[in-house]
Amino acid sequence: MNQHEVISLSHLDETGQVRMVDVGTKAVTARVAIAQARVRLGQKAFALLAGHQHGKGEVLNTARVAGVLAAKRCAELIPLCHTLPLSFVGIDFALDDVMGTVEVAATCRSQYTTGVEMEAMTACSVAALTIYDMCKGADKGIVIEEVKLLYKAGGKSGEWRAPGAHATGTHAAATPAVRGAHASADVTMADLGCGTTTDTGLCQPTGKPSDTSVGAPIDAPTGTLHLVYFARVAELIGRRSEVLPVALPLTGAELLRQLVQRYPQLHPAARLQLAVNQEHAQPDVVLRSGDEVAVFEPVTGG
Amino acid sequence: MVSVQEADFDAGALLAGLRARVAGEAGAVVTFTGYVRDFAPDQETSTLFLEHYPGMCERVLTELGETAARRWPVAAWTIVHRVGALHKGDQIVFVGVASAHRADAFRACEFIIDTLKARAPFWKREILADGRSFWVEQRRADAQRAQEWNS
Repeated sequence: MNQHEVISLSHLDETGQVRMVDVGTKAVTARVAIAQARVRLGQKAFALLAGHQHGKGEVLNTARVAGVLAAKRCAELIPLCHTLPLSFVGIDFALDDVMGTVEVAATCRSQYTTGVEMEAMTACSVAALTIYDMCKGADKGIVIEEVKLLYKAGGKSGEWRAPGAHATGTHAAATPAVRGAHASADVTMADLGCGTTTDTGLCQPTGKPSDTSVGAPIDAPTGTLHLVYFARVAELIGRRSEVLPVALPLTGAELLRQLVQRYPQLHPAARLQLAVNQEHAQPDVVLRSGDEVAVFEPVTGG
Repeated sequence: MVSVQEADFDAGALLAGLRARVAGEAGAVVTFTGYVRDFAPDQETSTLFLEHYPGMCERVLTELGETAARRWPVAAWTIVHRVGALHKGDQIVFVGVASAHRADAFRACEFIIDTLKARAPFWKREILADGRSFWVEQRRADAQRAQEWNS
Protein backbone atom coordinates (compact mmCIF):
# COMPACT_ATOMS: atom_id res chain seq x y z
CA MET A 1 0.00 0.00 0.00
CA ASN A 2 1.60 3.30 -1.01
CA GLN A 3 1.54 6.53 0.97
CA HIS A 4 -1.26 8.00 -1.16
CA GLU A 5 -3.64 5.10 -0.46
CA VAL A 6 -2.98 5.16 3.28
CA ILE A 7 -3.98 8.81 3.61
CA SER A 8 -7.24 8.31 1.66
CA LEU A 9 -8.66 5.95 4.29
CA SER A 10 -10.13 8.43 6.75
CA HIS A 11 -9.84 6.10 9.74
CA LEU A 12 -6.05 5.94 9.49
CA ASP A 13 -3.85 8.88 10.42
CA GLU A 14 -0.58 9.97 8.73
CA THR A 15 1.36 7.26 10.54
CA GLY A 16 -1.13 4.57 9.46
CA GLN A 17 -2.59 4.22 12.94
CA VAL A 18 -6.31 3.75 13.44
CA ARG A 19 -8.16 6.80 14.70
CA MET A 20 -11.70 8.10 14.87
CA VAL A 21 -12.65 10.97 12.56
CA ASP A 22 -13.54 14.15 14.45
CA VAL A 23 -16.93 15.12 13.03
CA GLY A 24 -17.45 17.99 15.46
CA THR A 25 -16.76 20.64 12.84
CA LYS A 26 -18.97 19.19 10.11
CA ALA A 27 -22.40 20.58 9.25
CA VAL A 28 -25.53 19.13 10.76
CA THR A 29 -27.60 17.94 7.83
CA ALA A 30 -30.43 15.47 7.26
CA ARG A 31 -28.88 12.04 6.82
CA VAL A 32 -30.55 8.97 5.34
CA ALA A 33 -29.18 5.58 4.40
CA ILE A 34 -30.83 2.42 3.08
CA ALA A 35 -29.02 -0.93 3.21
CA GLN A 36 -30.04 -4.47 2.35
CA ALA A 37 -29.09 -8.02 3.26
CA ARG A 38 -30.37 -11.26 1.77
CA VAL A 39 -31.05 -14.49 3.64
CA ARG A 40 -30.91 -17.54 1.37
CA LEU A 41 -32.99 -20.17 3.08
CA GLY A 42 -33.32 -22.90 0.49
CA GLN A 43 -36.70 -24.36 -0.41
CA LYS A 44 -37.31 -26.45 2.71
CA ALA A 45 -36.55 -23.81 5.34
CA PHE A 46 -38.31 -21.13 3.28
CA ALA A 47 -41.42 -23.27 2.96
CA LEU A 48 -41.47 -23.64 6.74
CA LEU A 49 -40.99 -19.91 7.25
CA ALA A 50 -43.53 -18.77 4.66
CA GLY A 51 -45.97 -21.59 5.17
CA HIS A 52 -47.01 -20.81 8.69
CA GLN A 53 -48.78 -17.48 8.75
CA HIS A 54 -48.30 -17.21 12.50
CA GLY A 55 -44.74 -18.50 12.42
CA LYS A 56 -43.72 -16.19 9.62
CA GLY A 57 -45.12 -13.20 11.49
CA GLU A 58 -43.14 -14.12 14.60
CA VAL A 59 -39.83 -14.62 12.79
CA LEU A 60 -40.02 -11.42 10.79
CA ASN A 61 -41.36 -9.31 13.67
CA THR A 62 -38.54 -10.54 15.90
CA ALA A 63 -36.02 -9.81 13.16
CA ARG A 64 -37.50 -6.34 12.74
CA VAL A 65 -37.15 -5.52 16.44
CA ALA A 66 -33.61 -6.93 16.45
CA GLY A 67 -32.69 -4.71 13.49
CA VAL A 68 -34.03 -1.60 15.18
CA LEU A 69 -32.17 -2.34 18.41
CA ALA A 70 -28.98 -3.07 16.49
CA ALA A 71 -29.10 0.28 14.67
CA LYS A 72 -29.19 2.02 18.03
CA ARG A 73 -26.15 0.06 19.23
CA CYS A 74 -24.05 0.45 16.10
CA ALA A 75 -21.54 2.80 17.74
CA GLU A 76 -20.90 0.18 20.44
CA LEU A 77 -20.11 -2.51 17.86
CA ILE A 78 -18.13 -0.75 15.13
CA PRO A 79 -15.06 0.80 16.81
CA LEU A 80 -14.79 4.08 14.93
CA CYS A 81 -18.49 4.87 14.56
CA HIS A 82 -19.94 7.87 16.35
CA THR A 83 -22.92 7.72 18.66
CA LEU A 84 -25.64 9.70 17.04
CA PRO A 85 -29.31 10.51 17.57
CA LEU A 86 -31.36 8.36 15.22
CA SER A 87 -34.70 9.96 14.30
CA PHE A 88 -35.96 6.89 12.45
CA VAL A 89 -35.16 3.22 11.89
CA GLY A 90 -37.34 1.10 9.61
CA ILE A 91 -36.97 -2.55 8.64
CA ASP A 92 -38.84 -4.11 5.69
CA PHE A 93 -38.87 -7.62 4.22
CA ALA A 94 -39.43 -9.05 0.75
CA LEU A 95 -39.94 -12.79 0.36
CA ASP A 96 -39.14 -14.57 -2.91
CA ASP A 97 -40.80 -17.96 -2.89
CA VAL A 98 -39.06 -19.16 -6.06
CA MET A 99 -35.52 -18.41 -4.90
CA GLY A 100 -36.26 -19.18 -1.24
CA THR A 101 -34.82 -15.85 -0.12
CA VAL A 102 -35.78 -13.05 2.24
CA GLU A 103 -34.46 -9.59 1.39
CA VAL A 104 -34.14 -7.27 4.37
CA ALA A 105 -34.03 -3.51 3.86
CA ALA A 106 -33.12 -1.10 6.66
CA THR A 107 -33.72 2.66 6.45
CA CYS A 108 -32.10 4.99 8.96
CA ARG A 109 -32.40 8.74 9.41
CA SER A 110 -30.71 11.31 11.57
CA GLN A 111 -30.01 15.04 11.75
CA TYR A 112 -26.28 14.95 12.48
CA THR A 113 -22.75 15.74 11.45
CA THR A 114 -22.07 12.28 10.02
CA GLY A 115 -23.95 9.69 8.00
CA VAL A 116 -26.00 6.70 9.08
CA GLU A 117 -24.72 4.12 6.59
CA MET A 118 -23.24 1.90 9.32
CA GLU A 119 -26.46 2.05 11.30
CA ALA A 120 -28.40 0.83 8.25
CA MET A 121 -25.80 -1.85 7.41
CA THR A 122 -25.76 -3.08 11.02
CA ALA A 123 -29.55 -3.08 11.27
CA CYS A 124 -30.13 -5.22 8.18
CA SER A 125 -27.25 -7.54 9.11
CA VAL A 126 -28.63 -8.22 12.59
CA ALA A 127 -32.17 -8.64 11.26
CA ALA A 128 -30.76 -11.22 8.82
CA LEU A 129 -28.88 -12.95 11.65
CA THR A 130 -32.09 -13.12 13.65
CA ILE A 131 -33.89 -14.82 10.76
CA TYR A 132 -30.95 -17.25 10.57
CA ASP A 133 -31.18 -17.94 14.30
CA MET A 134 -34.88 -18.65 14.17
CA CYS A 135 -34.66 -20.88 11.08
CA LYS A 136 -31.37 -22.71 11.61
CA GLY A 137 -33.18 -25.64 13.18
CA ALA A 138 -34.58 -26.43 9.74
CA ASP A 139 -31.35 -25.90 7.77
CA LYS A 140 -27.88 -25.10 9.05
CA GLY A 141 -26.84 -24.24 5.50
CA ILE A 142 -28.73 -20.95 5.45
CA VAL A 143 -26.57 -18.21 3.91
CA ILE A 144 -26.60 -14.48 4.56
CA GLU A 145 -25.36 -12.73 1.44
CA GLU A 146 -24.99 -9.47 -0.42
CA VAL A 147 -25.07 -7.09 2.52
CA LYS A 148 -24.71 -3.70 0.87
CA LEU A 149 -25.64 -0.05 0.88
CA LEU A 150 -28.42 0.81 -1.56
CA TYR A 151 -28.62 4.55 -1.05
CA LYS A 152 -27.41 7.43 1.10
CA ALA A 153 -27.97 11.16 1.16
CA GLY A 154 -26.83 14.10 3.22
CA GLY A 155 -23.48 15.64 4.04
CA LYS A 156 -20.84 17.00 1.70
CA SER A 157 -20.75 13.98 -0.61
CA GLY A 158 -24.51 14.16 -1.07
CA GLU A 159 -26.43 11.39 -2.77
CA TRP A 160 -25.07 7.99 -3.69
CA ARG A 161 -26.93 5.02 -5.17
CA ALA A 162 -25.74 1.47 -5.66
CA PRO A 163 -25.30 0.56 -9.34
CA GLY A 164 -28.36 -1.34 -10.56
CA ALA A 165 -26.60 -4.66 -10.97
CA HIS A 166 -28.74 -7.81 -11.04
CA ALA A 167 -28.00 -11.52 -11.29
CA THR A 168 -28.88 -12.38 -14.87
CA GLY A 169 -27.85 -9.11 -16.48
CA THR A 170 -30.67 -9.01 -19.00
CA HIS A 171 -31.63 -5.51 -17.87
CA ALA A 172 -30.39 -2.26 -19.35
CA ALA A 173 -30.13 -0.24 -16.14
CA ALA A 174 -26.86 1.64 -16.06
CA THR A 175 -25.41 3.27 -12.98
CA PRO A 176 -27.81 6.17 -12.35
CA ALA A 177 -26.15 9.43 -13.33
CA VAL A 178 -25.39 11.85 -10.56
CA ARG A 179 -28.19 14.39 -10.60
CA GLY A 180 -26.94 17.80 -11.67
CA ALA A 181 -27.16 20.52 -9.09
CA HIS A 182 -28.29 18.20 -6.33
CA ALA A 183 -25.22 16.02 -6.47
CA SER A 184 -23.03 17.99 -4.15
CA ALA A 185 -25.59 20.25 -2.49
CA ASP A 186 -25.97 19.59 1.19
CA VAL A 187 -29.43 18.76 2.34
CA THR A 188 -29.83 21.48 4.95
CA MET A 189 -31.42 20.67 8.21
CA ALA A 190 -34.99 19.99 7.22
CA ASP A 191 -37.92 19.75 9.55
CA LEU A 192 -38.84 16.15 8.91
CA GLY A 193 -41.34 16.29 11.69
CA CYS A 194 -43.06 13.29 13.09
CA GLY A 195 -45.79 11.82 10.99
CA THR A 196 -47.55 8.52 11.47
CA THR A 197 -46.37 5.92 13.90
CA THR A 198 -45.51 2.55 12.45
CA ASP A 199 -46.64 -0.65 14.08
CA THR A 200 -43.26 -0.89 15.80
CA GLY A 201 -44.10 2.34 17.60
CA LEU A 202 -41.39 4.29 15.83
CA CYS A 203 -42.09 7.77 14.61
CA GLN A 204 -42.12 7.88 10.81
CA PRO A 205 -41.32 11.12 8.95
CA THR A 206 -44.16 12.53 6.92
CA GLY A 207 -42.26 12.23 3.68
CA LYS A 208 -40.68 15.16 1.93
CA PRO A 209 -38.77 17.79 3.94
CA SER A 210 -40.71 20.98 4.65
CA ASP A 211 -40.51 23.97 2.35
CA THR A 212 -38.05 25.70 4.65
CA SER A 213 -35.30 23.39 3.41
CA VAL A 214 -33.10 24.67 0.62
CA GLY A 215 -31.60 22.52 -2.10
CA ALA A 216 -33.20 19.28 -0.93
CA PRO A 217 -32.95 16.58 -3.61
CA ILE A 218 -36.34 16.19 -5.30
CA ASP A 219 -36.24 12.44 -5.39
CA ALA A 220 -34.35 11.53 -2.22
CA PRO A 221 -35.75 8.15 -1.20
CA THR A 222 -37.94 8.32 1.84
CA GLY A 223 -38.98 4.67 1.91
CA THR A 224 -38.77 1.29 0.23
CA LEU A 225 -41.16 -0.77 -1.88
CA HIS A 226 -41.06 -4.53 -2.34
CA LEU A 227 -41.57 -5.17 -5.98
CA VAL A 228 -42.62 -8.59 -7.23
CA TYR A 229 -42.61 -9.44 -10.90
CA PHE A 230 -44.55 -12.11 -12.79
CA ALA A 231 -44.58 -13.88 -16.14
CA ARG A 232 -43.18 -11.84 -19.00
CA VAL A 233 -42.31 -8.90 -16.73
CA ALA A 234 -40.09 -11.14 -14.58
CA GLU A 235 -38.53 -12.62 -17.70
CA LEU A 236 -37.73 -9.23 -19.22
CA ILE A 237 -36.31 -7.79 -16.02
CA GLY A 238 -34.42 -10.96 -15.12
CA ARG A 239 -35.64 -10.86 -11.52
CA ARG A 240 -38.67 -12.02 -9.64
CA SER A 241 -38.49 -9.42 -6.89
CA GLU A 242 -36.47 -6.55 -5.51
CA VAL A 243 -36.45 -3.92 -2.80
CA LEU A 244 -36.60 -0.45 -4.36
CA PRO A 245 -35.79 2.76 -2.47
CA VAL A 246 -38.26 5.40 -3.67
CA ALA A 247 -39.20 8.99 -2.95
CA LEU A 248 -42.65 8.99 -1.38
CA PRO A 249 -45.42 9.75 -1.87
CA LEU A 250 -45.41 8.03 -5.23
CA THR A 251 -48.31 6.97 -7.43
CA GLY A 252 -48.51 3.65 -9.24
CA ALA A 253 -48.21 5.46 -12.57
CA GLU A 254 -45.04 7.21 -11.45
CA LEU A 255 -43.56 3.92 -10.27
CA LEU A 256 -44.28 2.32 -13.64
CA ARG A 257 -42.59 5.25 -15.41
CA GLN A 258 -39.53 4.80 -13.18
CA LEU A 259 -39.47 1.07 -13.85
CA VAL A 260 -39.64 1.52 -17.62
CA GLN A 261 -36.82 4.03 -17.36
CA ARG A 262 -34.78 1.59 -15.28
CA TYR A 263 -35.66 -1.37 -17.53
CA PRO A 264 -36.33 -0.01 -21.04
CA GLN A 265 -37.18 -3.48 -22.31
CA LEU A 266 -40.49 -3.18 -20.42
CA HIS A 267 -41.69 -0.42 -22.72
CA PRO A 268 -44.55 0.42 -23.15
CA ALA A 269 -45.73 1.10 -19.59
CA ALA A 270 -49.35 1.11 -20.75
CA ARG A 271 -49.66 -2.66 -20.81
CA LEU A 272 -48.35 -3.07 -17.22
CA GLN A 273 -50.75 -3.58 -14.32
CA LEU A 274 -50.31 -3.28 -10.58
CA ALA A 275 -51.42 -4.97 -7.40
CA VAL A 276 -50.62 -3.36 -4.04
CA ASN A 277 -50.50 -5.64 -1.00
CA GLN A 278 -52.16 -8.34 -3.14
CA GLU A 279 -55.08 -6.24 -4.32
CA HIS A 280 -55.56 -4.89 -7.85
CA ALA A 281 -54.75 -1.19 -7.96
CA GLN A 282 -55.31 1.62 -10.42
CA PRO A 283 -52.36 3.75 -11.61
CA ASP A 284 -53.43 6.63 -9.37
CA VAL A 285 -52.93 4.53 -6.22
CA VAL A 286 -50.67 6.24 -3.69
CA LEU A 287 -47.87 3.94 -2.57
CA ARG A 288 -46.46 3.85 0.96
CA SER A 289 -43.19 2.52 2.36
CA GLY A 290 -43.29 -1.20 2.93
CA ASP A 291 -45.99 -1.85 0.31
CA GLU A 292 -45.69 -5.05 -1.71
CA VAL A 293 -46.23 -3.97 -5.31
CA ALA A 294 -46.72 -6.60 -7.99
CA VAL A 295 -46.09 -5.65 -11.61
CA PHE A 296 -47.52 -7.83 -14.38
CA GLU A 297 -49.22 -7.99 -17.75
CA PRO A 298 -52.97 -8.77 -18.06
CA VAL A 299 -53.85 -12.09 -16.45
CA THR A 300 -54.66 -15.24 -18.40
CA GLY A 301 -56.08 -17.76 -15.94
CA GLY A 302 -59.11 -19.99 -16.23
CA MET B 1 -64.43 -22.98 -1.04
CA VAL B 2 -61.24 -22.08 -2.85
CA SER B 3 -58.21 -24.17 -3.75
CA VAL B 4 -55.16 -23.28 -5.80
CA GLN B 5 -53.17 -26.45 -6.32
CA GLU B 6 -50.76 -28.32 -8.56
CA ALA B 7 -52.53 -31.62 -8.11
CA ASP B 8 -55.36 -32.70 -10.37
CA PHE B 9 -58.91 -32.57 -9.03
CA ASP B 10 -61.87 -34.92 -9.23
CA ALA B 11 -64.74 -32.88 -10.67
CA GLY B 12 -67.25 -35.51 -9.59
CA ALA B 13 -66.05 -35.40 -6.01
CA LEU B 14 -66.20 -31.59 -6.01
CA LEU B 15 -69.78 -31.72 -7.25
CA ALA B 16 -70.69 -34.25 -4.59
CA GLY B 17 -68.96 -32.05 -2.01
CA LEU B 18 -71.10 -29.08 -3.04
CA ARG B 19 -74.29 -31.10 -2.68
CA ALA B 20 -73.18 -32.38 0.70
CA ARG B 21 -72.50 -28.84 1.92
CA VAL B 22 -76.00 -27.67 1.04
CA ALA B 23 -77.60 -30.86 2.33
CA GLY B 24 -80.63 -30.78 0.10
CA GLU B 25 -81.19 -27.00 0.39
CA ALA B 26 -80.33 -26.30 -3.21
CA GLY B 27 -82.29 -27.68 -6.13
CA ALA B 28 -79.69 -26.79 -8.72
CA VAL B 29 -75.93 -27.19 -9.09
CA VAL B 30 -74.14 -25.73 -12.11
CA THR B 31 -70.50 -26.56 -12.71
CA PHE B 32 -67.87 -25.47 -15.24
CA THR B 33 -64.63 -27.34 -15.95
CA GLY B 34 -61.88 -25.86 -18.12
CA TYR B 35 -59.33 -28.04 -19.93
CA VAL B 36 -56.03 -27.51 -21.72
CA ARG B 37 -56.56 -27.52 -25.45
CA ASP B 38 -54.35 -26.73 -28.45
CA PHE B 39 -53.47 -23.06 -28.58
CA ALA B 40 -54.81 -22.90 -32.14
CA PRO B 41 -55.92 -25.47 -34.74
CA ASP B 42 -52.49 -25.43 -36.34
CA GLN B 43 -50.47 -24.82 -33.17
CA GLU B 44 -50.39 -27.96 -31.09
CA THR B 45 -49.77 -27.50 -27.36
CA SER B 46 -47.13 -29.63 -25.69
CA THR B 47 -47.14 -28.09 -22.21
CA LEU B 48 -49.12 -25.26 -20.67
CA PHE B 49 -47.36 -23.77 -17.65
CA LEU B 50 -49.53 -21.84 -15.18
CA GLU B 51 -47.60 -19.24 -13.18
CA HIS B 52 -49.43 -17.61 -10.27
CA TYR B 53 -49.22 -15.08 -7.43
CA PRO B 54 -49.50 -17.15 -4.25
CA GLY B 55 -51.69 -15.45 -1.68
CA MET B 56 -53.33 -13.04 -4.10
CA CYS B 57 -54.85 -15.91 -6.12
CA GLU B 58 -56.68 -17.24 -3.11
CA ARG B 59 -57.83 -13.74 -2.12
CA VAL B 60 -59.18 -12.91 -5.56
CA LEU B 61 -60.96 -16.25 -5.98
CA THR B 62 -62.52 -15.95 -2.51
CA GLU B 63 -63.62 -12.42 -3.34
CA LEU B 64 -65.20 -13.68 -6.59
CA GLY B 65 -67.16 -16.40 -4.81
CA GLU B 66 -68.33 -14.02 -2.10
CA THR B 67 -69.34 -11.39 -4.66
CA ALA B 68 -71.36 -13.98 -6.56
CA ALA B 69 -73.05 -15.06 -3.33
CA ARG B 70 -74.04 -11.44 -2.62
CA ARG B 71 -75.42 -10.80 -6.10
CA TRP B 72 -77.42 -14.03 -6.42
CA PRO B 73 -78.99 -16.34 -3.86
CA VAL B 74 -76.15 -18.88 -3.75
CA ALA B 75 -76.17 -21.65 -1.18
CA ALA B 76 -72.57 -22.78 -1.75
CA TRP B 77 -69.75 -22.36 -4.25
CA THR B 78 -66.42 -24.01 -5.06
CA ILE B 79 -63.50 -22.78 -7.16
CA VAL B 80 -60.45 -24.92 -7.86
CA HIS B 81 -57.61 -23.71 -10.11
CA ARG B 82 -54.50 -25.68 -10.96
CA VAL B 83 -51.01 -24.28 -11.38
CA GLY B 84 -47.72 -25.60 -12.66
CA ALA B 85 -47.04 -27.69 -15.76
CA LEU B 86 -50.14 -29.09 -17.47
CA HIS B 87 -50.62 -31.04 -20.68
CA LYS B 88 -53.22 -31.16 -23.42
CA GLY B 89 -56.47 -32.54 -22.13
CA ASP B 90 -55.64 -31.83 -18.48
CA GLN B 91 -58.17 -30.11 -16.25
CA ILE B 92 -57.26 -26.52 -15.38
CA VAL B 93 -60.18 -25.01 -13.47
CA PHE B 94 -63.44 -25.98 -11.78
CA VAL B 95 -66.25 -23.64 -10.77
CA GLY B 96 -69.36 -25.00 -9.06
CA VAL B 97 -72.38 -23.13 -7.72
CA ALA B 98 -75.35 -24.52 -5.79
CA SER B 99 -78.55 -22.51 -5.60
CA ALA B 100 -82.26 -23.01 -5.03
CA HIS B 101 -83.02 -22.42 -8.70
CA ARG B 102 -81.15 -22.98 -11.92
CA ALA B 103 -81.25 -19.41 -13.31
CA ASP B 104 -79.23 -18.06 -10.37
CA ALA B 105 -76.84 -21.03 -10.43
CA PHE B 106 -76.13 -20.56 -14.16
CA ARG B 107 -75.56 -16.82 -13.86
CA ALA B 108 -73.40 -17.01 -10.74
CA CYS B 109 -71.23 -19.74 -12.26
CA GLU B 110 -70.77 -17.80 -15.50
CA PHE B 111 -70.01 -14.62 -13.56
CA ILE B 112 -67.29 -16.37 -11.57
CA ILE B 113 -65.48 -17.90 -14.53
CA ASP B 114 -65.80 -14.76 -16.68
CA THR B 115 -64.45 -12.52 -13.94
CA LEU B 116 -61.74 -15.02 -12.95
CA LYS B 117 -60.31 -14.83 -16.46
CA ALA B 118 -59.88 -11.06 -16.16
CA ARG B 119 -58.84 -10.67 -12.53
CA ALA B 120 -57.29 -13.79 -11.03
CA PRO B 121 -53.46 -13.55 -11.05
CA PHE B 122 -52.55 -16.57 -13.17
CA TRP B 123 -50.43 -16.40 -16.33
CA LYS B 124 -50.23 -19.10 -19.03
CA ARG B 125 -47.04 -19.97 -20.83
CA GLU B 126 -47.58 -22.03 -23.94
CA ILE B 127 -44.93 -24.50 -25.01
CA LEU B 128 -45.90 -25.80 -28.44
CA ALA B 129 -45.11 -29.19 -29.89
CA ASP B 130 -42.78 -27.54 -32.41
CA GLY B 131 -40.73 -26.05 -29.56
CA ARG B 132 -41.92 -22.46 -29.74
CA SER B 133 -42.92 -20.96 -26.40
CA PHE B 134 -44.54 -17.70 -25.41
CA TRP B 135 -46.68 -16.02 -22.76
CA VAL B 136 -50.36 -16.09 -23.72
CA GLU B 137 -51.93 -12.65 -24.06
CA GLN B 138 -55.26 -11.77 -22.55
CA ARG B 139 -58.07 -11.91 -25.08
CA ARG B 140 -60.01 -8.70 -25.58
CA ALA B 141 -63.21 -10.74 -25.61
CA ASP B 142 -62.44 -12.07 -22.13
CA ALA B 143 -61.79 -8.57 -20.79
CA GLN B 144 -65.05 -7.37 -22.36
CA ARG B 145 -67.15 -10.21 -20.96
CA ALA B 146 -65.84 -9.49 -17.47
CA GLN B 147 -66.64 -5.79 -17.90
CA GLU B 148 -70.21 -6.55 -18.96
CA TRP B 149 -70.98 -8.15 -15.61
CA ASN B 150 -70.40 -4.77 -13.98
CA SER B 151 -72.52 -2.69 -16.33
